Amino acid sequence: MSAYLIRRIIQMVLVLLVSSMAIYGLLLAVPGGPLAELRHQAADKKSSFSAEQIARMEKMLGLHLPKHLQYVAWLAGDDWMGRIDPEYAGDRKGVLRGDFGDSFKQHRPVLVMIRERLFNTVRLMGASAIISLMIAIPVGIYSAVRQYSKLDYAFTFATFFGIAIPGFWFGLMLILLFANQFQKWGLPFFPGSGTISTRIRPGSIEAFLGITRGSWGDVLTHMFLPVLSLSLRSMAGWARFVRSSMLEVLRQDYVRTARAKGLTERVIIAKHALRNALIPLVTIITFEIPALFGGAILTESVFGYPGMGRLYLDALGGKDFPVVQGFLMISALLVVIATLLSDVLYTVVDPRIRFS
Amino acid sequence: MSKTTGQGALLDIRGLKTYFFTEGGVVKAVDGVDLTVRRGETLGLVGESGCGKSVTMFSVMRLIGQPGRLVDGEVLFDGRDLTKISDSEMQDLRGNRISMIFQQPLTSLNPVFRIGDQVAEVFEIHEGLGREDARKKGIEMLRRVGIPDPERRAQSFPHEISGGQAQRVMIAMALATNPELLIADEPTTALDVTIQAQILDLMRELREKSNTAIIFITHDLGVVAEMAENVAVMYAGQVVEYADVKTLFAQPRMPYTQGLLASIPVLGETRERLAVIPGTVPNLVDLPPGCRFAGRCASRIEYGLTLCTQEAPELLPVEEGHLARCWLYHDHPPSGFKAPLATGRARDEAGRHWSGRAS
Repeated sequence: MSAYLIRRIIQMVLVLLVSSMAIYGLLLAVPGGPLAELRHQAADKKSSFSAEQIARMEKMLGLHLPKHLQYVAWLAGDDWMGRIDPEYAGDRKGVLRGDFGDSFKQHRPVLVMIRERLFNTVRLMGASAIISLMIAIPVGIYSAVRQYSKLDYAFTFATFFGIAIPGFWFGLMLILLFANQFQKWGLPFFPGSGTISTRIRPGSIEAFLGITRGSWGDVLTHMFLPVLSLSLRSMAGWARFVRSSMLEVLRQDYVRTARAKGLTERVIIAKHALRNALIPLVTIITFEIPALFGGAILTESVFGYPGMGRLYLDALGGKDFPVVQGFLMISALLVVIATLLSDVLYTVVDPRIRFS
Repeated sequence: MSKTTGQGALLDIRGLKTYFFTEGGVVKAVDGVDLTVRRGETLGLVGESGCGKSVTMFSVMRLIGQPGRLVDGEVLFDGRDLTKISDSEMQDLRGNRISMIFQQPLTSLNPVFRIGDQVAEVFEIHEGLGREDARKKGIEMLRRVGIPDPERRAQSFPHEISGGQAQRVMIAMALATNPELLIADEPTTALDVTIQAQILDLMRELREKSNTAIIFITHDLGVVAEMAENVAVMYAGQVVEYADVKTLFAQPRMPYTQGLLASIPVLGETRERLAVIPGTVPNLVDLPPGCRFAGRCASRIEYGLTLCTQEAPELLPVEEGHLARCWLYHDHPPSGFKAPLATGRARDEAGRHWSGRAS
């Protein structure tokens, strides 16, 4: 087991190294270099950046260094490079030591910005994942056990609806109904954007429930619509998955054995069948872990929710390369960790799978 | 009702019909089966694949799933009709007074639970034992069925043991509560020959100790000869012949049984070709009128019988304790039909004829 883990961790490091090269190399490969757009804007006097500031950014990005050292400086920092040539000396610590540089736009460390957003996103995605599972698993089990019953057909219809509907459109419709129309109709309306209220508006759900600004209740009411929008799709997909997995398991010989033993139908389903049916679900769910941190770009945009997805989208649009690099690097790290976690979890839930 | 129906029998199946309602039509998998098993008796239930032998026994256990349904008949177990009792009463019987083992032992065990726990579960549900006591009794059962080092083996998962070991575990599970009836559905078919012999030995040994009645479903006549006291031969959803094992092998009456026996290769005997029964089993959705075997029956042609394709024969005695469903032995008064082999003498002739064909 430990030998296997060590091998896997070495593989992970290699994968991350290759990803870091790709992430750094691709952004550097933008025609005219990463600062071309900013230089262009500065020349047109459209930008708030002066020529000196751009020169400082150049230094910060290490663009004055010889090509082969630029990547090394980004990865390992340039605070030690003075020993090679005093010209190269800088104050960057490098990605390996958690220094992703400063944002072009906000002039703040990238890592700090990511940390701020990460909690919002994990909260949103986590809540949506948990709610989806809590509904998808019982629905899937019921649909499988009572296959072709009226309720199964109803669930099937609902899940196809959920899978087919575009998430961002559904989000807009939720805002339209629960935020705008509810307000018009005089019903307690939900907030359509943000993470907390700037002020408690009269007639809103916060006012209705007596929630104070900035409290947990305020946070939860803001999460309500985006979570609902996010849950719909994963709930539908997972319910279908549990249903087919359960149907497969219910046909197995060992389920017949469980019946022949005299177990009640409830125990057969909850213990003997479910345990087997959930094994493939574990893989599917662990692959959602990167999304847990990466956020949902479209949903966060629709709901004006300050999460990772929007941070990335804004950074891309604003050519804020340090933020883009930081986001991509951290995503890569999370993907490899999630993959390892999924493999380890597999051996926990399925005794037939062992490390070798 | 036939003579196999006896008073005070442990299991008495009367006129059992189990149909499968498929899109292609109603498949009459079991179509009027009568069978009786006494306490401690071993009955061999023989027939080709698809003849309804397994479905009959799954019907007894009430393990028929959609789209199958038990449409008619009674299954009296110790005097109680199993087709009429509630699900929870049935659950009390299953795995307790009636147990079952299956053809594929490895897939019949749940892959995610340790084998010791799977055996112990029977004690938990039927004897209300706590986890620890159930575990101990489970290990004891594993020892009884000849699993070496049962304490350690109990910790194994099904994928870590062989097919023979898995069947021992299944037997341990089935016999845990000393059932009165054990239904063995081709328990050795998936195992290789040496393991088959070990499992059969084990079953014989356990039968002697426990006085459990066994219904042995198989298509292997060799296994039947070794294990069973009485044999019922099934064809196309019906019992076509019933006798004690010696009589059945020495004097099979129904042409189908004769064909089955003739198709066994005999050691030290060279035949040009292995005997086969021509044709195939009739479609169970659209059964022909008359005897279901008529289309493949050589005797029908030999004796020039026309009744066979018009009127279905009943399962009736040919001799004391020997039943056959065949017009060779039974007159049909309404049509004035006289059976060619109704008398003992004619049968002796035919018997010589049969043994001539067999050897």
